Amino acid sequence: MSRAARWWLAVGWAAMLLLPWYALEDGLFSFVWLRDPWGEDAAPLIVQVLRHGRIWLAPLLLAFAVPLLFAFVLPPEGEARRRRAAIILMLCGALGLVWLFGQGFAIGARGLSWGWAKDLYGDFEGRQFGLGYGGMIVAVALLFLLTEGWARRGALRGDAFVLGSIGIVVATTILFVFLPVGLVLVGAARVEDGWSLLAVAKRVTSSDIWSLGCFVGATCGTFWKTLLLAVVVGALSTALGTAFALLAVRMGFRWQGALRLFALLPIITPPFVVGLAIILLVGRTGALTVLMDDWFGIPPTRWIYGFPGMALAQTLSFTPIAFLIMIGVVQGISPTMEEAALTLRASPARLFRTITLPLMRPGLANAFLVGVLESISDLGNPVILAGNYDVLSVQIYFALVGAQVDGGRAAGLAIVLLGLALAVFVLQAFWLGDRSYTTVAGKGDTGTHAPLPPAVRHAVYWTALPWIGITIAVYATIAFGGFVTNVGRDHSFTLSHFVDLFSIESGAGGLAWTGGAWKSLGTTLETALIAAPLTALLGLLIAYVLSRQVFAGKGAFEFITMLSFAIPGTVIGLSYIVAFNTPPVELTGTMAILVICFIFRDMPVGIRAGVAALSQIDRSLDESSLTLRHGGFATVRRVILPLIRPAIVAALVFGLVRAMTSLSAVIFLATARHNLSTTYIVAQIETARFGTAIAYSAALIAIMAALILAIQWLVGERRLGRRALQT
Amino acid sequence: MSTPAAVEFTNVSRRFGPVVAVDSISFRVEPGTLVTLLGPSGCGKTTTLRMIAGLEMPSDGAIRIGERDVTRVSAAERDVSMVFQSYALFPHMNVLENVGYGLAVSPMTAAQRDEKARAFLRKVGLEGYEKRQIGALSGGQQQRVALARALVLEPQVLLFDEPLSNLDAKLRRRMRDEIRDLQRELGITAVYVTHDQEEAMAVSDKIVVMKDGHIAQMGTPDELYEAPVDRFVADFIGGANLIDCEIAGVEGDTARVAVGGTTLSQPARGLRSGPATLAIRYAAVRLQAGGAGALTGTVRKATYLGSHREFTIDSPIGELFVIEPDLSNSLTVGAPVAITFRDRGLALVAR
Amino acid sequence: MRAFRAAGLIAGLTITVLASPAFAQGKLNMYCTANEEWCKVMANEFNKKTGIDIAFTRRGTGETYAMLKAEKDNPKGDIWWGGTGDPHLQAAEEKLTVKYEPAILKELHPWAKAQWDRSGGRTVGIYMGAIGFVYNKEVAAKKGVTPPACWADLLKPEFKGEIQMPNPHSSGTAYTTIATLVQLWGEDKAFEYLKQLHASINQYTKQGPAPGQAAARGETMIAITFLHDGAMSKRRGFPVEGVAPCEGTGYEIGSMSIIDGARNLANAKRYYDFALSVDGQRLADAGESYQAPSNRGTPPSPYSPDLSKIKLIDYDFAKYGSSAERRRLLARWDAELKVGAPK
Repeated sequence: MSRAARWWLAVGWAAMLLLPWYALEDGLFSFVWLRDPWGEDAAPLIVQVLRHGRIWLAPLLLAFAVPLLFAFVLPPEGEARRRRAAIILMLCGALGLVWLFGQGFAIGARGLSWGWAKDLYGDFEGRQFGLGYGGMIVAVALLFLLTEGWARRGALRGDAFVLGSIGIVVATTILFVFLPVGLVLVGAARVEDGWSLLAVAKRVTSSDIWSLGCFVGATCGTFWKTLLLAVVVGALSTALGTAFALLAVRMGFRWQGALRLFALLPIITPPFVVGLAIILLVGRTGALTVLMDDWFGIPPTRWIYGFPGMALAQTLSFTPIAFLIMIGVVQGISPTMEEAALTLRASPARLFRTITLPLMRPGLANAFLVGVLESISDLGNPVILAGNYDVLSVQIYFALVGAQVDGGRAAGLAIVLLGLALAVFVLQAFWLGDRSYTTVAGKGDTGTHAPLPPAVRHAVYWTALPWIGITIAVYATIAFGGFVTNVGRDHSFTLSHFVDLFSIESGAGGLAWTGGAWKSLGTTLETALIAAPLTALLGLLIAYVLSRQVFAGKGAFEFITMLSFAIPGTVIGLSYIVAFNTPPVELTGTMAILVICFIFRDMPVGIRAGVAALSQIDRSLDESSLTLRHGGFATVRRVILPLIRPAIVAALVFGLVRAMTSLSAVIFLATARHNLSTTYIVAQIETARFGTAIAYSAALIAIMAALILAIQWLVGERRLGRRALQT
Repeated sequence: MSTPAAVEFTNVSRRFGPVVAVDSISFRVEPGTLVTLLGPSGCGKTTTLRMIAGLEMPSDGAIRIGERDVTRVSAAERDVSMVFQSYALFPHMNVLENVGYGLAVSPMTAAQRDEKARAFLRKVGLEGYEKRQIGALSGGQQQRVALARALVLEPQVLLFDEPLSNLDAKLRRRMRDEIRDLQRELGITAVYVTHDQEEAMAVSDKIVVMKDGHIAQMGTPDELYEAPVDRFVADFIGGANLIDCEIAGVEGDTARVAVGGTTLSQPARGLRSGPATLAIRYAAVRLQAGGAGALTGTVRKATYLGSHREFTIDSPIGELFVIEPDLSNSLTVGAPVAITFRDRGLALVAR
Repeated sequence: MRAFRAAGLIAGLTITVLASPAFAQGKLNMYCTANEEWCKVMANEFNKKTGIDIAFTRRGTGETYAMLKAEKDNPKGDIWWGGTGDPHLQAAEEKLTVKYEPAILKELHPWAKAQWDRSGGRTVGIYMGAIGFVYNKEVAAKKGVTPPACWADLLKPEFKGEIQMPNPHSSGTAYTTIATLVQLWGEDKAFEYLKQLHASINQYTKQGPAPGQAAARGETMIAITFLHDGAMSKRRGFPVEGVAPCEGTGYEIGSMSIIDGARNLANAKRYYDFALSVDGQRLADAGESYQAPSNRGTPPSPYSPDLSKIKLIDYDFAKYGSSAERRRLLARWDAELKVGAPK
């Protein structure tokens, strides 16, 4: 038996013997449970079985006892026996997991969960709560026993790390993405007196979704409106992100630092603040609108409410993500390939069209995919700016919480939304095809990049620089709003907003954090700092698994990882409440559920950036590391990670920033004790304290900017052993 | 230093979905020898090599390295290292870091690792290049770094996946000699994949010729050349004119072979009377100007190559390609020739 | 080493998170659907009075109702305080909340008690707010128009494209508006009016309070919204004024319910009593909320719209709160107005 298998057996036993099996009222680390460690609430599994009559937990002991038997009493000799031992390890892990969750769902806090089970065992008395540390650790140990056994049978080149990674990402994705989203989606089949597939068909094919009326003077269905917006935003943000990346990497642009800052700025702003700033700027009474009226007599209109406003706000919000994905890809393009093309008499324009652009495809495809998914799941901007332009996310939201609640309709719309996501996903995969985009090979690269053709240079300047102008205008408005009494009304300078939020007074008991924002800021920072590294870790791990390993059901798994990203956050939040409010996995009301929600909602950007980056790196690099005594883990750490540093930055930055600025997902998950900055800001906006809202946002922007710098410093630059760029 | 180990395949297959890349092959590589897997692209040679490395797992069968059954053992846990076609040098590390990479998991101190890496860089003639970036090396130098990186682990088995295919012809010849010398000097077991038969013959103790996932023939270079088992091997190793013939009779080990009106005596090699193929090496054909003799033909094409001449001859037994080392034999296109065969360079194979 | 440090940091933070306390006994968890300031004032005062550790989570009314449904197998909240009455009635209908009959009921205005009666004691009125128009004085002056005084005035040509109201599918405020007009004039006339009004509407916003905010910032001249929201904007210094329509208008009854399965039931009842008491009701002003209080002993805030000058209709909450009627009216609204079609 391998060392890892022994280790997980030991962990499993320790958890079953020592740790409280069920979740504790006061949490494990309050140590209140130590007062009565063998009582019904806090007892570990073995005591639960022996003393508290929870006999249905006993098979789990067996799952850990049998491998022990094979490890010590009947040590396997010879290949055939070793294989049998591996199979037994697999079976123990798999059956143990099935049993653990089966009994957890079957026996809940109010006894048996299912009607038929109650009929069968009418007099059954057992009750239990959500899994605690004991239960969770045992579940993890079982999972690793399963993958360990599997690896010993030679699956996936026998690399236990790779198989364990696949095990953990698949298991967690199923638990935290597929399960909650699935629970929402099955609602589409719910009718008043049961279930009906016909209802699904009706809800999904409803004419308000699909109508093509706009071609005949009426109005088009929501699907088409959503699609149009998503495609426009996806294309614009990808184009702008690429322009920024080319400007930063290939054109020797002088103000690199400023460029990166402004390219990233919109991502570090709560989206509704962008919407608000746009209204303050170009709304009917916006600063710019008034200016245009005064100077040129252009009468103020409400053009911003509807498609233009949403497209503007979303493009502003999502361009930074495209930039983060593209910058690594543009850097990764091999100069030698370009030089080779130049020596073949290609003109700069032809070179760009036939070599550079095609080599950027993985980046373009992934940036576009992310842009589309962001657009269709965005709720903040449409709610403020949509006007009468209806999109699916808004309809879903109001079908869930509006004046006419209809969960079935919401689920039907969500299915349509996911169908749209699936179509775009398939399209980008098809566009990428199975061509090779490898440009970081194990041969070093001595060339220097060819200059970009003049047309491209001009295009880049003329898109990126005006866009920076817009960004500056929007953020100047925000900064301005934080320091005046009432933006748009009373422009006298004041610091009172910041004082309200962040005052500190020194009193008798030392420093008193009297500002209103401290508590929510603390919680926000804490969740974000925990969630960001985990988000990046999981996202990149999944990217590695997806782009380097072959296993059955990979395509489906890849799509499932994006489900939670394509659905509006509010729906995810609500689905988390539905899925994790009852045993065996009871998380509502804890900070953990916030962290988990952030991780699984935001990891797709890490995945997409990772997939794009990995597609440029020659597989023989990992393989050579594997033959040089480095296992899967060491290879990832020493070869893969250093070569995909830009993707790590993208994943970390996005994970951090989203955890700090997301609103929709946390509406349902945040609680009184875990209140977040965004909910605080929204409350300010609702009570018309725009100055306070803007001041808080400005403070958040400053904090996030500092944290992004820290991330870049921590991760460092990627070295590709290339010559410096000459321009 | 680990002792060189044997590599043994027993009925190993590898399937990718419905495609059978390697179909139940068995062979043994003796310790300390260099064996080449040779064959056209798609014959399964690279898959076989990757199965030795642990980069592919066999669908069936067993693989042993030395005493150990490694069939299900992952690459990192095998005492094997590999030189890749693309070199697969790590672009984010310098030369020394690349060479020392595999030692990082050993119990050595950093200083010992550096010391050893430097020693092997010396062995491949790259002293003084330790701090260079990979991008700043020539193709040949990169190849040497890749070699040093694999050798420094002193593995039981060293694998080469078409290591020379990215080099020019002159450098290729020098590198292959260096590889052979190093392998002999270190007494290491090596498995080498190439599709270039000349390269294979130059470096190998033994060659395994593969075709469509099977082993066509395994033997020393001369065995393969002198006694190919079938048309494919005869043609692939050294190249040959494959001429239809008839075995008129077999006496002992000798067959009487009728070809185009002449009769030759050839080792029967297990063949019986009946139709067969005669593999005639290009250099085994002798041409004489003038049309007299049992077998005659006409020159269709003549090429002067400095070291030798090449002719294409139309003859009753079919088209013959001929290499003539005698530069004075200057036949012109259209000239009639008499055709005879030398003693060596002919082999009977099944049709 | 760098990785090591980062790992240590993550581990440390993880432990702190997981260690954070779960819900404990002897506390009170309030789902608050009024504005943040009011929630805070109520919670602080209650805590001062009773010593009970009260924590509140603020969400929209629709969101809280959805939350109650999602959590019904294992509720985490104890009391739901604030927000328009219809979702409270729906929750009562679905038995998501429980009956409670405090002695203080007799001190309430009849409309507040009526809410309690309708729901079988599962919810009670805590404040009342009337629907009206909020207009921006600066925009009106610039355009040189007289502000509207009646529903009928809104159809005047000078207000074309200057009126904003919420979309009744997403906002209870808008639905209440439609139901009000139906009760004022009968269904056919009401929809005839809405159809004509449609030409003057520049946007049906997604959220109920949005038109009022737009009016405050001058993005629209007139908003159809709750008058107390206008009062808040006015107090915040925006140039707005509220108008109660001369024909009469509808209203909402802000409500409070105790959640079924509350873990801190006794504390929830104490809060219930406190929220209806004269002292509890008086806190609306401090909470910057200008609805009319439901306890007869509590005077309204000086900033509140003067209810005595507002002509209120006899709003039939039972009929117009029912899902069937709601669905029917909204369907008719869709059919007759075709919002989203190009004008």
